[in-house]
Amino acid sequence: MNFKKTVFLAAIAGFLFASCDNDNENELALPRGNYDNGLVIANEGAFSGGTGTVNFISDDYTVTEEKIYNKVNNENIGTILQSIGFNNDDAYLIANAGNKIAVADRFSMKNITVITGDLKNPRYIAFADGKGFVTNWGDGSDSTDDYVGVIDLETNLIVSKILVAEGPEHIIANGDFLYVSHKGGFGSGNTVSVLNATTNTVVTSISVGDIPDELVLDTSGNILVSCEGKAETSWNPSEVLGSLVTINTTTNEVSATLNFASGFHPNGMVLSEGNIYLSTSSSVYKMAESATSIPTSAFINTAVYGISVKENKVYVTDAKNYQDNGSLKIFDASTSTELQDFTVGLIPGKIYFN
Amino acid sequence: MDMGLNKILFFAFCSIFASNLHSQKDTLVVNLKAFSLSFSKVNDFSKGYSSILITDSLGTRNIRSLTDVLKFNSFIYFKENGLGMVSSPSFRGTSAAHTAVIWNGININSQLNGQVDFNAISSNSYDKITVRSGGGSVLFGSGAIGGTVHLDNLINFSKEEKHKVLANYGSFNTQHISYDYVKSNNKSFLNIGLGYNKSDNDFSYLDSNLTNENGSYLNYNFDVNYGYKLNENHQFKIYSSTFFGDRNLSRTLNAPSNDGYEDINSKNLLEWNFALSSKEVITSRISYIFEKFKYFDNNQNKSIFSDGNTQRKIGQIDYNNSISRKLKLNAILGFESIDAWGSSFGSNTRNIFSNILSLNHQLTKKLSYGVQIRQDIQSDFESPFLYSLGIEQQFNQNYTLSINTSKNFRIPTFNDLYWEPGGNINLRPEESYQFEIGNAISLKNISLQINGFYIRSSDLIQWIPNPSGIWSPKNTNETRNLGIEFSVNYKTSIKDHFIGINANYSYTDAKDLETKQQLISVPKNRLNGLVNYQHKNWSAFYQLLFNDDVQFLVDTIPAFQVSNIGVTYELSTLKSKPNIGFVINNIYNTKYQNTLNRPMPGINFQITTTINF
Repeated sequence: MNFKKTVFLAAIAGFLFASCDNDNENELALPRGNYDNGLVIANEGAFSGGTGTVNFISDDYTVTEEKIYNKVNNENIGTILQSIGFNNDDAYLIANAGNKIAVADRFSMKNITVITGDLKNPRYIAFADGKGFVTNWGDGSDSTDDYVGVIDLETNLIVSKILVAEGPEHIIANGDFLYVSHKGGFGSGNTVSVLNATTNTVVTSISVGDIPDELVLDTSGNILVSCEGKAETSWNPSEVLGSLVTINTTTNEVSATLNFASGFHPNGMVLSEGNIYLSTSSSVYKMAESATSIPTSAFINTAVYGISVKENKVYVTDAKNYQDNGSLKIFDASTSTELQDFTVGLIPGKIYFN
Repeated sequence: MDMGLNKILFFAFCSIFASNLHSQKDTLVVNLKAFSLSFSKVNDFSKGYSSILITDSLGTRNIRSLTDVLKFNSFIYFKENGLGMVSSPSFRGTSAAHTAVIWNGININSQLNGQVDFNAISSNSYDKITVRSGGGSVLFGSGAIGGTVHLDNLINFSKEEKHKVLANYGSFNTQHISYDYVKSNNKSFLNIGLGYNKSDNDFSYLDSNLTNENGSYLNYNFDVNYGYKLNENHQFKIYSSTFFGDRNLSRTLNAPSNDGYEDINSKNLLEWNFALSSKEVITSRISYIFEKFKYFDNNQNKSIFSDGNTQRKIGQIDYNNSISRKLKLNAILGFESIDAWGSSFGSNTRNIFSNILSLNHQLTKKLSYGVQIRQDIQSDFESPFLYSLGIEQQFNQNYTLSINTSKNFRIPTFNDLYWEPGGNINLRPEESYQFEIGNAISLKNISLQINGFYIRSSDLIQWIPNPSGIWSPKNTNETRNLGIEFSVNYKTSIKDHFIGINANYSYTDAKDLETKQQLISVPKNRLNGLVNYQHKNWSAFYQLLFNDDVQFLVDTIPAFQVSNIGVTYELSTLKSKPNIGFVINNIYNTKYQNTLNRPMPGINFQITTTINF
């Protein structure tokens, strides 16, 4: 521990000097907690009885620490850390099978409260109109009990439920409206629903491709939806192509659909600095936001479980065999050169930036 | 290509051999009384293998479940998902589907996942429970790799009529009531058994503010065993055992649960023993086994569920010949048709023909050996040729050395082949080779058994995500398990004080040969012990279990030691000899888990009563 602290102090010192050099306006900015200025990796953990964990890797790669939430609070996050949502300084750690959300300070990981009531298979969270909106599948085999739970951010209690179509997955805010992709839970969905955050109601439902997953807001304020489609297998003999769908947020209608090639079924999508990064389980593809066709060759060949892109770096997690700790690889987003490789936790699903 | 020819040759070989034997028919009349096919497999055709008769050590202790019986009395480690929940075995470091359970001679492992849930078997239904260490696929079929557990009912044609009622009550509102009736004479035998188990199972987790929510269970069993002796040459036997279970699946330390699970399984067997001569017996068997489960995502809404069903029809002709006092032969031709259907794997059928030949030979007074071979013909894939060889050399009255080697297998289950999505119809059977040395030392009051084993398995089926991210099974793993088993049995009596001690210790080193890592869910060291004490009408026991650390993925389940104690008093002055007992489980209030983050209860109590009339 002492050694770690020493390393950590050195790292902080390093940061301060570095920041003086680079950015004079921020020279007084002190780290807002032990886990400021670095990467936060959400590991799902074991399904049977396990708990999600969080790894921290400092921006200069000198500090790496595992199970930070569990250590700071001496308690577990819960089974399957699906995702983390951030609202200012608060992190909402969503335990999918644990049916709970641990609310913590994002920089110190100190627990603030735990939300347990009215959560059933929670997935992702977004914030709008001073409220949190968390997608819930309900009971997996029940297609009619899916909802978006509305969290009062003052009390951190779920105060209302908006019933939605089956399998609400990703949710993003655009002003006072929320867009929810209906991946379909244990079934398969093909819609994006639009919610009014002020009135807690469903405004409309938009048909997109099969199995809509990631949602991003593009530079012109429209929503991009990556739709996985369905791969051809022995139990699904006819392939459904994946697609990239653009939703015009003024009209809430589909304004463009770009079909992917046969066999291309994306599991992740990130928009960064004018480029769209799409991933499959074995490759990352890169295309300009303005492109009208899908790239045919991969940008990076690496196993992908989760992907993030920031400041010209591509961050990719690999869940490996799902039994041992996974890894995080960092690539240069211009040259696709691998820069770093870290061991992280069991089934690392998401990468966030503090 | 060549396999086809091999099979034909094998068949031809079988039939020639069989017809040769028929010509040696004898006219002496055989007494079939002591004849039970299932035991003879374990006893006569298991040269070089060691087995433990569990029922010997049970005494008057009343037991909650088959898991409870075996975890304190055998080498098997149980991955019990909380008290009373799904419980799967790990024998010699092998996986849950590598322990076969043999009910009156029939392998009853699930056709869906290859495993047996040891909490879905009533422990009071059987007269004899035997644990046989080591591979036994030749005799017992798919999955008999780590070892086999034998559940047998005895049918005796001797005059008897008795009723037995057992009633137990314990902590967490745990109730057991069972009734067992036997009526027999020299012509017929009837045994009826009824059982009921129920528990709220809502104990508090030690050092936590959580309780074992959603852990309640309820089960019933109904058993009938009937035998009829037509004459000295013909006996008919019916074995039937039906179990109904309704469980909620309890929470873990990290996640709540509202899941529910209902299952029903019914095992039925008709057996006809026909003594051709004093040496030859042909046993024909027809068996029908049915299994059905329903899984509820939300046990408050039972209209939504997923289900699975299997139906097995088995026919066997089993020919036994005690050619001489020194030479015994057994040939079995079997056919089995299995149907499975359910929410996640459509409807499928599998047909299996099996051919088994066993020989047991007492070569000299002290040296004996057994050889067994098996070739199955399956509709889905090629089944490997299996063999087993065991040799026993008795050096003197006190010491016997045995060795055995065998090739065993496990066929892919219906889940592996047909699960939607993910099922892989191109799977091959798992193959496993093993070698074992056993030392049996037997002195006046004490007997010792020391086994060393080596198991190498390949093509093990593992579910891993495929390129499109869907979990799918593959023949990928290769493992090597080696270890030592040590068991001791000591009995003595001083005046009217009787003391019995049993202990089993195992050391297991199980490795994945590709990753060079220890296999998950295998305790390296494991020890259990039992002390029985009896004095006049009083009997008492103390049992303990030490289980080493267990790796589960990136976590470690800590080692633990747990002990139970109990006392029973028999009112021998009354004709019905009722007894009453008191058991304290986990007397030291130890915090422990068998599987990750599923705590077991702290100290808890049970009152037991038995009435015979």
